[in-house]
Amino acid sequence: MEAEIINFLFNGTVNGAIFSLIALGYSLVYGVGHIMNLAHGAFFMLTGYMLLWFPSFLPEIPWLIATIVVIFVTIIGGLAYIILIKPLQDTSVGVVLITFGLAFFIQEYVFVLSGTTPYSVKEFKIIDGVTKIPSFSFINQFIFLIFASLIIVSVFALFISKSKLGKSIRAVSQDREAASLMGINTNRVLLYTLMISAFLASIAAVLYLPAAALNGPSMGWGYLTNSFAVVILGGMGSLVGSVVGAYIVGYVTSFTSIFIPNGPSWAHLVPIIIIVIMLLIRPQGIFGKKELR
Amino acid sequence: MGIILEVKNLTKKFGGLTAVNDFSFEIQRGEYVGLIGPNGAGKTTVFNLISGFEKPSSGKIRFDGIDITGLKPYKIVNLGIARTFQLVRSFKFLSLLDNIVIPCLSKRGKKVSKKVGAEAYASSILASVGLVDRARIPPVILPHGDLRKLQIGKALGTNPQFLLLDEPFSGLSHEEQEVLTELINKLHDDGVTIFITGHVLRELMTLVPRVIAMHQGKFIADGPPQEVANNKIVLEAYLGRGEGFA
Amino acid sequence: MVKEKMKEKINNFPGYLKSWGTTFIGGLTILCLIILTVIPFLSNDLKYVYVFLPQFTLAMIFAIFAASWDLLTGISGQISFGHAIFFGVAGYICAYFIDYQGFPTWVAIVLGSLGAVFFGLLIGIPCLRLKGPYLALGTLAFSLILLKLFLQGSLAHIFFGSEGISGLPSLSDDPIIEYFIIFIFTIISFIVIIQISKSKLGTIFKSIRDDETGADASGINTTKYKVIAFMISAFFAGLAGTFYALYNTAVNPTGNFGTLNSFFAILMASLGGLTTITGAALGAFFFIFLEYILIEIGVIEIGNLIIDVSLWKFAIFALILIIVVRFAERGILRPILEHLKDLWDVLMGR
Repeated sequence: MEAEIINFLFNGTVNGAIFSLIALGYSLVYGVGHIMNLAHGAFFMLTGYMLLWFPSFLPEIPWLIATIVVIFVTIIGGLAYIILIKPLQDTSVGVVLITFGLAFFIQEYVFVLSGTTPYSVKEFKIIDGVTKIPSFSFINQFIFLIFASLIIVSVFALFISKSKLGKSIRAVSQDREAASLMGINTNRVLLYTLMISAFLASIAAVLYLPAAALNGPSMGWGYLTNSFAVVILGGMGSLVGSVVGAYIVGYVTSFTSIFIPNGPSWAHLVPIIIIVIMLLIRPQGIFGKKELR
Repeated sequence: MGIILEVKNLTKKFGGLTAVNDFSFEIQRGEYVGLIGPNGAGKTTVFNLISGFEKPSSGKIRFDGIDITGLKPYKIVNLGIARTFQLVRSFKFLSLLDNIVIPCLSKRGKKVSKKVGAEAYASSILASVGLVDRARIPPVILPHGDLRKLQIGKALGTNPQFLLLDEPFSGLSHEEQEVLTELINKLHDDGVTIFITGHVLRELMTLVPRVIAMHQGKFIADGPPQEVANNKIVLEAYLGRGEGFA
Repeated sequence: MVKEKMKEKINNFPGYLKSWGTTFIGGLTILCLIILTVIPFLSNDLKYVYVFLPQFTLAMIFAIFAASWDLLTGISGQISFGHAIFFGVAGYICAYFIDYQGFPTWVAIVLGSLGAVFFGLLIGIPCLRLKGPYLALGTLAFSLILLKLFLQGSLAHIFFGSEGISGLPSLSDDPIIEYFIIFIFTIISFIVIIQISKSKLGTIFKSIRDDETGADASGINTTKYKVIAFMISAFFAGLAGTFYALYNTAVNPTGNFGTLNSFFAILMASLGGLTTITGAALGAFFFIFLEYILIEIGVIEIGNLIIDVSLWKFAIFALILIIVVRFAERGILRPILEHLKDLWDVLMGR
C-alpha cells in the first residue's frame, strides 16, 4: 500500500510536470491570439522523432542534437504561424482546419519515415539510472524532469511578467486593438508566442520521451487531448490555471491507473471525463473568466 | 391599459463592477418610453437583462404578469418581447427575406405566419419596413440605414407586443433617422409598447413622451423629457462625462 | 389545401425535372448519374469488376459521409472533428447485430444508423455549450477517447479489441449489385440532405451558423436545432458507416473510428467547397481515386531515389487540405464547375 501511494504521488507529479509544460504553450497561444492550435501535440511528437533521426547525420553529442532539434521545432512553430495561421487568424474555423491539416501532415510525414513501430530514444536521457529507496525506485530522468519543469515554469512566469516581450504579450492578450494602437506589432507578438509555445512543447518532449518511448506518429493527439483537458480545467488562456490544471489532471490520471481496478485503461478516459464534466458545469474553467462574446 | 413590464431592484455585477444597481421602474401597456444615460451608464445591460441575454445578480423582472427573470432569450421572445442590438447583426449569408423568415418560424411568429405561410408573412414585413424590393439579396451589401430597418423587421417577425430598441439611430444620417422614426412611430400607433435607448438626449426628446434616466447603473430620473432634461442630477451626469446632450 | 398543394407539386414534377435538366448543374448531375449507371457494364474484366468498380462504391459511401459532415459544419456551423465517432459506432453496432445476434443485414443497418443518432444526441448535448474551435476540439477529444476505449486497455476486449469484428456478409456477392444498392442509397441520401438544406429547417440551421445570438433573439430555440442538426448529420454519417463496415466485411477500431475518417470527411467536403453538399460528392470521388492511383503507381524510382508513393498518400492529402484551406476558402471543385458554367452559358449564347 505504501509503495502504491508513493507510486501514485511520484507518477502524478511527473504527469503534472510534463502536462504543465505542454499545456502552458497551448494555453498561451489561445489566450493571446485566440488561436486554437491543433498541431501542438504534433510538435511534441515531431521532437521525439527528430531525436531519433538526427543522430544519423549529426555528431553524436546528445545535448547538441537536442538543442538543434528544439531550435528546429521552434522555427517550425514560427513558420506555421507566418505561412499558415496568420493569413487565416480572423476566421477561427480556418485556423482550426489548417492546424488540423498541419498536424496530419506532420503525423503522416513521420509515418513515412519511421512507420508505426515504437522506438526508444534513451540515449538522450540527461541522467541515467534509478534512485532506490527501500521499497521503491525512481527513474532519475523523471526526477530531473520534475525539477526542470518547475524551473522552466518559474522562468516563464518571470519572463511574462517582467520582460518587455512578456509585457507586450500580456497587452495583446488583454486587448489586441489597444495594444496595436500603443505601437505594439501584434502580429510579431503572436509569432513569438507561437514560437515560445512550440519551444515549450519541444523541451517537454526532450525531457520526457527519452525515459518513455515513441509510440507511433499518432501519439501527438493524446497529448493534445491532455492539453485540452488541462486548459479547459484551468480556463482557456489562464496561465496559472494551466499549471494547476496540469497537476490536477496528472494526479487524477495517476490515481486512476494505480488505485482503480483495471486502472491503466480507465486512465485514458480521465481527460475526456474531465472535459465533459467541465463543459457541463463550468465551461470557463476554474480560473478562467467567462468569455464574453 | 395596465402594467406590461415591471422591473424591481434589478442588479447586475460583472466581477467587481456593478453595471446595474438596484434599478426599478414600470412601463404601461402601449407606452413609448426612452432610456437615457451617458455611454457606459448600463442601458444595454438593462436591455440584455430584460431580454434574457444576461442573468441578473438579483432583482425581478415581470412581463405581462409573468416572472421572466433569468429565462432563456428565445422563451422571452416567444412571450412577446423582441429586441434589436446596438451593433447591427444579420444572418449574413441568407437573403433579406430569409432573414425575416427566421423570426416568423419562432413559436410566437408561427402563430400569425402559418395562415399565410412564413415567406408571404415575411415579405409583408419587408414591405412594411420598406425593403421589399431587396428581398433576394444578402444583407452584406446593404447600407447602414437599411440594416437598421432589417433589425426592426427581424424583431417584427416574432409578432412582439413589446419592442426593445437599443440605440436604433446610431450611425444614421439625418434622412435615415427620419425614415426610421416614422417607422417606429407607426409601430407604436399599431399598439406595440416601445422602449428605446439613446445616449444623445436630443434624439429622444422629440420622440418619446416619457424618459427614464440612468447613470453608473443607477436610476436617477423618470418623467417627461423636458423635465428630465432640466433635472440637476441628469445634467451633472452628462456634463461630468463631458458629453453634450443638446 | 395541403393535399391540393401536394397534388400540384406532383403534377408539376415532370415539368420541373425537365427545366432543371436543362440548367447547367441539373444537366451535369444527370450526366454524372448516367455515367454512374453505365459504368458497371463497361467491362467484364475481373480486375475491373472486383477492384476498379468497388472504388466507385467506396467513393459513394464516403460521399454520403462527407455530405453529412457538410450538413453539420458547412450548413449548421457546428464544426465537428469527430465525425468518425458516428461512422465507427454505426459500423460496430451493425457488425455486432449481424455477427452476434444473427439479425438480418437490413435491420442491422437501421439499428446502426439509429445508434449513430443516439450518439449524436449523447455527444451533441455536452458539446453544444462549445462554440467554434472549442467545439472542434471537444468533438475531436471524444473521438480520440472512443478510439482508445476500443483499442487498448482492459475494456477493449468488451468491444472486440484491436481485431474488431470480421466475417460480415457483403451487401451482395456480386460487386455490381453491391454497387447499385449503394448507388441508390447515395442518391436518396443526397436528395434528402439537399432538400433539408433548402427547407425551412435548413434556413434555421444557416441562421444559427451566421449569427447564433441573432437566432436566439428571433425566438429560435437554438439548442434544440443544434441537437437536431447533430442527429440528422449523425444519421447519415452512421448510414455511411454501416455501408463501410459491410463493404469491408469487417470493423476494427482504427479503420472505423480512426481520426483519419474524420479527416477524410473534412478533406472531401473542403475540397469540394463547403456548404455546397454536392461538393462533398466531388471531393469524395477525387480523393478515393487519387488514393487508388497513388496505390497503383506504387514504388517509383527517380535516379537512385526509390519512393513508395502509396506510403505518402495521406501526407499528400494533408498537404492538399492545407493548400485548399489556405488559398481557396470556397473549395476548388465547385468553383471550377462554376467557371465551366459561365463558359457553358457563353456557348449557349445566354
